[in-house]
Amino acid sequence: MRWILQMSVRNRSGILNQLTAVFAERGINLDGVLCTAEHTEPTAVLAFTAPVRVKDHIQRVLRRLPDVRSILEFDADAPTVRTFALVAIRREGLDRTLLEGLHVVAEDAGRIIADCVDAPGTVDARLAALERAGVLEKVISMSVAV
Amino acid sequence: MDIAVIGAGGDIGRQIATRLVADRLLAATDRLQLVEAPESRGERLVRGLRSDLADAFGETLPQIDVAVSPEDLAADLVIMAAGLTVPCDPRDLRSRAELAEANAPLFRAYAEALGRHGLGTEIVIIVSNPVELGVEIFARHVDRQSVIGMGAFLDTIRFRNEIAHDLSVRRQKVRGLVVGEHGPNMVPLWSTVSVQGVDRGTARARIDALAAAPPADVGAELRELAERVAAGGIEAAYEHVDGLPIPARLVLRPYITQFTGAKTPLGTGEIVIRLVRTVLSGSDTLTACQMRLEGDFLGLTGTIGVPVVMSNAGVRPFAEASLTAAEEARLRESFAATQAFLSGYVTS
Repeated sequence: MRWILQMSVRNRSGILNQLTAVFAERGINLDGVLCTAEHTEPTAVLAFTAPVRVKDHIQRVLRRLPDVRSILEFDADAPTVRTFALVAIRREGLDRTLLEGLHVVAEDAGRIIADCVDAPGTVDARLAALERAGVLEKVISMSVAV
Repeated sequence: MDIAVIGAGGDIGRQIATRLVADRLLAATDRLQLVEAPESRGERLVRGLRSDLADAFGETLPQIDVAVSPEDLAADLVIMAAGLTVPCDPRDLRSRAELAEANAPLFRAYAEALGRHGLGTEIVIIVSNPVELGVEIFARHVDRQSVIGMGAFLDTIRFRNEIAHDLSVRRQKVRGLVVGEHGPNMVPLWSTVSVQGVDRGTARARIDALAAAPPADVGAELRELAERVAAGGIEAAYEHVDGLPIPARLVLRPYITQFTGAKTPLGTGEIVIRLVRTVLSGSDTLTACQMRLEGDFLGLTGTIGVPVVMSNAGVRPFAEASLTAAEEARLRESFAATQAFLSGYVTS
């Protein structure tokens, strides 16, 4: 199963190193990492795939780190989980129905820039459909939740 | 790798924790969990120890985590060093049964918590006594081959020390194992003893002479030693032990050290650190320790000290070990006595 752990942490250098070492030591590859202290209290968000027992263990270990204040856990399929995607698509011959659910932020002769915020699976499906139309460039944020 | 020391506020627990940090066995991102009972003297001590470790080893300090409940136990390697131990007062000769009564609930509490919350890959080193009881209880909650009783390992090192002393060589020249109970029923395996750098024929003759010494009455000797120490005769007590056969010395010498008040944190701590190094190294080491058997050594099922191969996967009995008929008989006797003792605290 895929999980997101959203942690309130102390804003100090090396904190990301501490957090990711817990995963590395147990052979778990991270699917996504987000660390921010802007507009919010210092927060680290880590996404990974693991069985429930391993996820529980990881969380117990993280809770014991002196610089971790609290942890919120989300199943990656939870309804409040959101992913952000920013994509550049070839304009020529584009079937505009594929842009449904996306927000066009810029357009010129050669390309259309659009963004999309939705559940991770929905974003993935929309991007997959756009791939066939010719995606020139894309940036996908890791999932976050409240 | 994260390491938890349960009973980190005790003499031996503090020594182990200090050595783990001083010897740089933990990286800066690893966590050392100091576990103690809440609102105890031990809790106060480990909170102070955390600060003292930072003072001493600020350059290489791992994450230090103080935990005060079995439910907070979380580590890849767990060292169980909590509980009642032999007192320093020689007039207070506490029995194994008294230690078992006091420590069995502690063993259960931490073993159950580890079984509930652990990943199933943790290695557990039992330092607290009775070692066999600790191993037996933990092995009921986690993989039995990941539970290592350090008693036979400690006895093995002490055995080599005594032989080295008698043969006037350094300890590292001596090989040989001690199995059985960590206590009066321990079984030195004289057939496994060899001495590097000494002519084989000469060495064998001297080893055979040491092995042939008539056994001492360890119980009576202990009572006598306790009286000597209580009367202030510490040097006389050590000298008396020097004259006893090696198996008796293995049991009695640590008692005198305990009675002096110096206790045995350095020796025990060093042995635990050697075990930890073995586990961390990833290599296989042939030694002896207490483990829960399931018919995989001499057909025995229960907990006792046996020759083992130790690695980062835990321990497995070294089934290829060849004991003499007499050694096997003594090990079976020790096993029977130990299982009878354990049956008072755990159901079979």
